Amino acid sequence: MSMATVAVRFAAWTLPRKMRNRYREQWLADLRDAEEAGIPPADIVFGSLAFAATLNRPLFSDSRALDAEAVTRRSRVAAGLALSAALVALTQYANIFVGFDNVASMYAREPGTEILAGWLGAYSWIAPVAAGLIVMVTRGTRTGVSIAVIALVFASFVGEIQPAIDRASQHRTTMWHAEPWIYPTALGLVAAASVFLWFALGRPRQRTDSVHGNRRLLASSIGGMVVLAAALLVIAHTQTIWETRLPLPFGPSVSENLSMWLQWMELKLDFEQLMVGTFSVLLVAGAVLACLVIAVGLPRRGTVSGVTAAAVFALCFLTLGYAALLSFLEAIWGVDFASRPIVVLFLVGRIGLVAVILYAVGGLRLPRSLPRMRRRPDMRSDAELIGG
Amino acid sequence: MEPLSRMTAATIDVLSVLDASREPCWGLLVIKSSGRPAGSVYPILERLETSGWVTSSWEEDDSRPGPRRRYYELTEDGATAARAAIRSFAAKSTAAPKVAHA
Repeated sequence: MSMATVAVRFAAWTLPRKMRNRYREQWLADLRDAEEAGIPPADIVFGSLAFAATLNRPLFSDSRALDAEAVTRRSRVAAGLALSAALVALTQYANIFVGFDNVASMYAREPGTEILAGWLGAYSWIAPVAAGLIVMVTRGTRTGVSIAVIALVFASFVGEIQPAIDRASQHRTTMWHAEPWIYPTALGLVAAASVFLWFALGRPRQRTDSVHGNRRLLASSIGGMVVLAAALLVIAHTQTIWETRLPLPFGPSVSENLSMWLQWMELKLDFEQLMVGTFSVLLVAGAVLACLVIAVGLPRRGTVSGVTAAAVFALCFLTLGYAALLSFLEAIWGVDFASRPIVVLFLVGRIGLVAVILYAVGGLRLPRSLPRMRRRPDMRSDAELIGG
Repeated sequence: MEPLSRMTAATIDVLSVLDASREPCWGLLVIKSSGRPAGSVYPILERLETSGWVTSSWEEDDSRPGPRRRYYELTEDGATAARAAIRSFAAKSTAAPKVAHA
């Protein structure tokens, strides 16, 4: 394939979907017959690239009728990316700081403070999961997205309230003072996602002319990409911590405490380890089942249910039983390798959540199940055919 | 058919080629005959087609394998408008030197 052909094909690829096939064939024919017409092939190449670059597209000009279906779908994808990125970012810090099993509550002096910390932790992971389910059930309608955004915004404040509780209970959270950017960043991520989501889908019905449609598409696309990029950066930050097994700086490391505890106690299969083991088996079974559902191609509802179950279970399990899971894994595999399954659980939960949300807002399409072949009354069965 | 937002010399050249052709004209021949680069003619043809001045179709010659050629021809209304635009542009072009000399 010559460079000229590659360039022409690339120019055609950049065109809107409805124009792509036609101009690809037309330009390739012109390229093939350029010599016959007495035109340099380079002129055809530059002509196709210039055409693609100067074409009046909906995003930059209102001279062409807007493809409403394409704009709606791209807006939904952007909104789905923004919402999922915000959820991923929020669950990250909720896992570490605000859960029933979080370290801060262990040091709370007042019983009421500990209960409040626990309920806040419960809300911090219930709200993002609920927001995702709301968007999924309502199929990305304005009302559903608005409700999800409100829940997400309130959940974002939990990350700010928890350190205040810690200070009130006379326990200084070293992570807060060492890396104060974490909470404003998480709050900013959710706020940015909320703004872009509301701008894209949550506002009252706007004029549907191309100019406002273009701005909404542009804002939602940029917002989604920015929030997702920031969330990916945050995830990389967390995975780096766990992979290198650095001790958490707000006191003696979790692994050191657990190691001392295990040395003091005789290792036996107690209730906690039994529960953790049972959850682990269920989680692995759920993940395998979800993969099989996707691979076999069962109906979309089954696929979505499997992926949702695996993702939600992974996130809830990590939030509730993080320390217990870590102790169990360290007892079996040692300190060096115990963090790796946790990393896998994080990835399974979050990627699954993103996939579910993208499907919910209509941006991710799954194949339909194969139609069942109905046998007519006059058709012979295979046994009859074989038996003659 | 929609009027064109702007009428450039290149557009007039393309319209002249299409008007002079008695039958559908191959896109490359439009480029060759107009003397304009493909980067100018392709967008002009697309604008004309979008505005309803021109229709296009694939060649019907099955003897040539591979991708097909695209042929362009003026619509009935497009031909009338094209001739009017060519006359108007020519009048403006001839009038300008007279103004300069005046």
